[in-house]
Amino acid sequence: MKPKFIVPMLLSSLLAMGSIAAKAEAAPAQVTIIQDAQGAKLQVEGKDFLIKGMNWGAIPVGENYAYDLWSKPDSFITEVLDTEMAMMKSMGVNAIRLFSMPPPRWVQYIYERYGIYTVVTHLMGRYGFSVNGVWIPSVDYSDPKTREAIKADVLATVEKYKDTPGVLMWMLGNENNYGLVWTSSEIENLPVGERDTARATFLYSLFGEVAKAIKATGAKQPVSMANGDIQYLELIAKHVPDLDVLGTNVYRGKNATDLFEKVKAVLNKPVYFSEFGSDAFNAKSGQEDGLAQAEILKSQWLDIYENSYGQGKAGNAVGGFIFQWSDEWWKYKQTEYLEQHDQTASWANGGYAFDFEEGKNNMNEEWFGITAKTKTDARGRYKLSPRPAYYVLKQVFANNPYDPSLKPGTTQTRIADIDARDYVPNYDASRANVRLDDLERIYLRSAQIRLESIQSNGKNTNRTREGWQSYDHQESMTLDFGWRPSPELEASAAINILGNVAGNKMDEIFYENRGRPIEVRGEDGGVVTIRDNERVKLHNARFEWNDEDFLLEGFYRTGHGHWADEGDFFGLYQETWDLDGIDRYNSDAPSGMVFTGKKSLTGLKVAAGPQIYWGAKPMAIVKYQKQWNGINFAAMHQEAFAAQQEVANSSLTDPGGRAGKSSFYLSKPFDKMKVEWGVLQSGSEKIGDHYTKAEETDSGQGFRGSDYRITDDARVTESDTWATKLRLVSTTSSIPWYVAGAYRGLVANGGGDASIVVTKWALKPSERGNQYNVSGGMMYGMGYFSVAPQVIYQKPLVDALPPDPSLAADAFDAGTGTFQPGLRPRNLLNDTFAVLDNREMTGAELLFVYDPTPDSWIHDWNNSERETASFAASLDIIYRKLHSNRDANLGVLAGGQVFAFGSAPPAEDLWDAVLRTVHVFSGDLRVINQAYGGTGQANGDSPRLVKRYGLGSTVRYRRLLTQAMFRWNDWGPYDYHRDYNLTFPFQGQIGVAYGIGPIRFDKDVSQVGMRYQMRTLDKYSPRYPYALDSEKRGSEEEWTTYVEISI
Amino acid sequence: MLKSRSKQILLALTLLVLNNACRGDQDEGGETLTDVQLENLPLPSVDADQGIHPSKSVLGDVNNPFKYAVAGEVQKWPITTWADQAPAARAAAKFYYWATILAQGPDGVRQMYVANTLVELSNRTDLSDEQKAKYKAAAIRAYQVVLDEFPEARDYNDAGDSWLINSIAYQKIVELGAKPQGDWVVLPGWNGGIIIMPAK
Repeated sequence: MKPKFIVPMLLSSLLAMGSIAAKAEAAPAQVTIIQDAQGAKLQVEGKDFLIKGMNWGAIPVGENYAYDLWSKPDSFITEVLDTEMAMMKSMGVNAIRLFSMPPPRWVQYIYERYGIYTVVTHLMGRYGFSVNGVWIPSVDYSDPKTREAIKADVLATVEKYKDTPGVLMWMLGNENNYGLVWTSSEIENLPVGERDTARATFLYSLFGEVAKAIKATGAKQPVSMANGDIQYLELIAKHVPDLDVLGTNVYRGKNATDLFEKVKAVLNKPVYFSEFGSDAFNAKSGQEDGLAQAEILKSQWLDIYENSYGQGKAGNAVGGFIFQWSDEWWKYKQTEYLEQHDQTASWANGGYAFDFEEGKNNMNEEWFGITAKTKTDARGRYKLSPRPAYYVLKQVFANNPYDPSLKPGTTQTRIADIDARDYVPNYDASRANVRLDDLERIYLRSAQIRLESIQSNGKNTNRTREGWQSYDHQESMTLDFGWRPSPELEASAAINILGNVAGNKMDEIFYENRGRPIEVRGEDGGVVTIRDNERVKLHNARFEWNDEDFLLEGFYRTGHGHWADEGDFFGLYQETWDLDGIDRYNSDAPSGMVFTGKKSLTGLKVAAGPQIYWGAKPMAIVKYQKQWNGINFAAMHQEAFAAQQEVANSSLTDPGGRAGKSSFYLSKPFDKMKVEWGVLQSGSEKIGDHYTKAEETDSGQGFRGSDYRITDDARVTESDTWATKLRLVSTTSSIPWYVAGAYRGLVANGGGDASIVVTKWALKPSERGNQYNVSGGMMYGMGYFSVAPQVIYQKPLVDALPPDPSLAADAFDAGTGTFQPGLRPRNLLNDTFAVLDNREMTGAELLFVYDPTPDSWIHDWNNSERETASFAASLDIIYRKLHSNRDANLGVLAGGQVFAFGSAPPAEDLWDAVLRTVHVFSGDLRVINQAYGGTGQANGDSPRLVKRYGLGSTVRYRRLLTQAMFRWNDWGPYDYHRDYNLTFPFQGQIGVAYGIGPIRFDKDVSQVGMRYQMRTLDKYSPRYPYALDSEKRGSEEEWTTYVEISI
Repeated sequence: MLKSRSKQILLALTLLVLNNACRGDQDEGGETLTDVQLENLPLPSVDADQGIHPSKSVLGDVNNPFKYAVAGEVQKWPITTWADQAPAARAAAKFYYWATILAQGPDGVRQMYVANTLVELSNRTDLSDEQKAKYKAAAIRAYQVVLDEFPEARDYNDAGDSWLINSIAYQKIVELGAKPQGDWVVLPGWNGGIIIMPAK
């Protein structure tokens, strides 16, 4: 049992027990029968009692007769009873009949909570019986052992229930007269016409014996039976003298015709309908027909009222049990299609004229409920929609035929005046509501179709791309579906469908290009072109299970945040928001699940998956965070289980397989300052690895006559796997500031630092091992203006290997047979560590901000949309003095193979400046400008320093959006451009779009637009067809018109 | 009291970690990166499929003189030519060289040269029959890898002519007394050689 059920279960049990205890002395109902010249009636505790009964069951859709409500947890049973008994009480129902008997405590619960009595049913072997352990499907009522077994079982039932408050009467059997099919020599010896009567005689003689035995127990409740109509009435009169009241299952249509008179004449005992009613489905029209059901039930109850005590007719009607409370979707075929509300009529009955046609069935077993039922939710519950009959019968039950103050016939007149049509809208509204609930459980979250036509051209460019043509088009559609099995569980998945994929785009890497034709070699050695590659693909998916005890979130290509603000001081769990980039490279990231504990598990988080952030190896991360005496501490462990999946992005290449990282973090506020300290252990799998290092030595005395002494037998030790970091932050003082320092062993690598401290500086120390660093910054504000300087110094513990090309090549002397390995820069593919972004650096940053509206922070990711100030601006100037070269980076070839570059860019001084302004002239007009400039180095091996700059502007006026961006001497849009130092002399883009509403920067808006892009090419550009010493210029241009329809 | 205890704990932990982190590389020997004599190297083991793709065990072989070098292509012909002058003493160096660059960058030609060197090792007269049988079996497996994993690999000469090496691998397996695996059609080639093509 799940813990969450325990409390409500105990509560409900205590309530129930308390209630029971309070009435511990409560006696069973004293039910008496009054019979005189005016007729017969029941009295309970001395009060007249017309049975306004209901055949009740709570079998959910998808289950059948085998469903046992009473085996469920008490909390669940209580929920069912409190829902459905309350509805019935409101309707006026005062008794129920069930096929699956509740334990006595629930009989008492129903009675004491809702005043509803229960008829205790024993089926008397109607659907089989077990005799001495042997199951007999067709009971032979002539068999003495069977008769004894049934009798004993009935008496045991009576003994079990007879003192239970809320028991109205004993009801024997259920249409057992329709199931007399056994054969025996005694029966077979009779003439055919007498065989059924003979069987019935055995049946009713057993009923008689049992009824007599029940009386002998002293039970206070009357004995009844559920006969199939009034067949064998004479046999009943003869063999069941102890029967107090006759129950009959009657399906005669609008009224029972002569039934009451016949019972009076033959049996002269009170009679009620143990089953009666109508289905709510019109077999003729093939449609639900709750109105017809209501009309028939009203008429049937009018018949009962007219034949009740003192009303001038038979006077022996004492009520009835409507068949039934709710639809049962299992009735047709019983074990098949349980989730289908079957519309097949399975038997014919001319009494139901509204849909009867000669020779055709018209009774739809699955539609007899006076309430309609929805499908089951994840908790096994359903909703009920009262049909018109519910409301009509509520009006009927408000009348008391035994009211001495009313003239006979008064209640009948009132019932006849009830118009069932008045209640049809009630049902329609309720039904529409629950159907809407059903529909909302599966829904379309969003849909987008994008149609593009692309015209591209170029001069002096190498158009070697497969299928290139000057004009092409592209169609892409994304449908995002959501579904909610229950309020706490929600999921969604988006499917992308391709039409044609353009082959002439200037930017050749994009999500849809997965559908471009590919060539593969067939079994016969021939080349086959596959043109329908991945036309339909799962674009992204996610789920969220928000349980009482935990939150479980799953994601596939949907972004998530980091845990830097929750104690992840070393970036072990990184954020993944670059969904455009993930789309572009068709990555399967992020993909995984995050468990967040609640209640006793509060503070526990577990993330696991094949790639929980972009570039992650298959791994699991566990974090536990807690507050203790004002100290916030967090312990984390990350364990990678396998090598990284294939990557399409060199900067994220992370070779190696299994690896573990552990961190511990403490923070504590002191007055106006917060102290943060953490320790990390990482890379223990590398302990013992050799690495090469260089030390400066006397001039010309080193390796190959150089100034460097080279050793290759240094090893990674345990101490190289440790790192520690300390940060002091003050954000509450008049001048917010921070200072930080870290010391990291050679292989103590963490992840990127996503924390925002004081303000959003772009410059951060490396989080790689093999370095120590110190940093500090402050922010000084003057009104709406602030300036925030920051300085950083970092230095590797072991420097990068010297970049001297003369030392790099392998040397071999064939004369002596000696080989001398070359001194190549380290790389992460072949070496245990490499000096990359952790090379020695002195950095400074100066961040100027003018932001009159701090509530819409200028550094927010969606500030372009959210900024409310008429003018806001930021200028960020960064200077990096890179004191030394670095080791070699890794690259990825087009086929996905990872390789190491042979060299790396040299020491350099770099600077960057970025200016961004936001102008909000009015609600209609918004302008965002950006300008940048700076110097940069390639990720790969190119030593060329890039001096780049650019400017751009975005103007949104009402539903019109224009964008322009111009870049000079900058890298192209993809990672490989920077890896290989591929730049364009000029890149320009101008676009205009018109939306169906204001085009937002942070959401999809239907729009039509046009975009012009052009680039010039030189010897540093991709697709440049001339020799590297050529001074020719090339160019590429592209016109794109597009329509994007989104909801 | 608690505040000071917290500070003490923080200080102790910091000192502990700094102590750990600052111990330095006490077991570093600091030997200079020196020349390696390639002649008369210990014979390589082939028990772990060393030199046969996809095994990379050669990179961890303590006898491999190239294990710390990022052995590129620059010296492959000088070393091969040198080794071919005295196969008995130099085949091991040739094996380690080609096996190392094969492990660093799988390629059919590299696998072929490893296989050829294994044949040379199997022909040494100073080895026991058991040792020779091991090298021969390894050579057969290496040639088979050429057929299975690099069926379209080509070798070329200084004149720029290139040729598929699968036929050579096939023929070598036959010459070693084994049956090449795979569904191949064998056709007569020039100079009494053969040309093989996939049967399908």
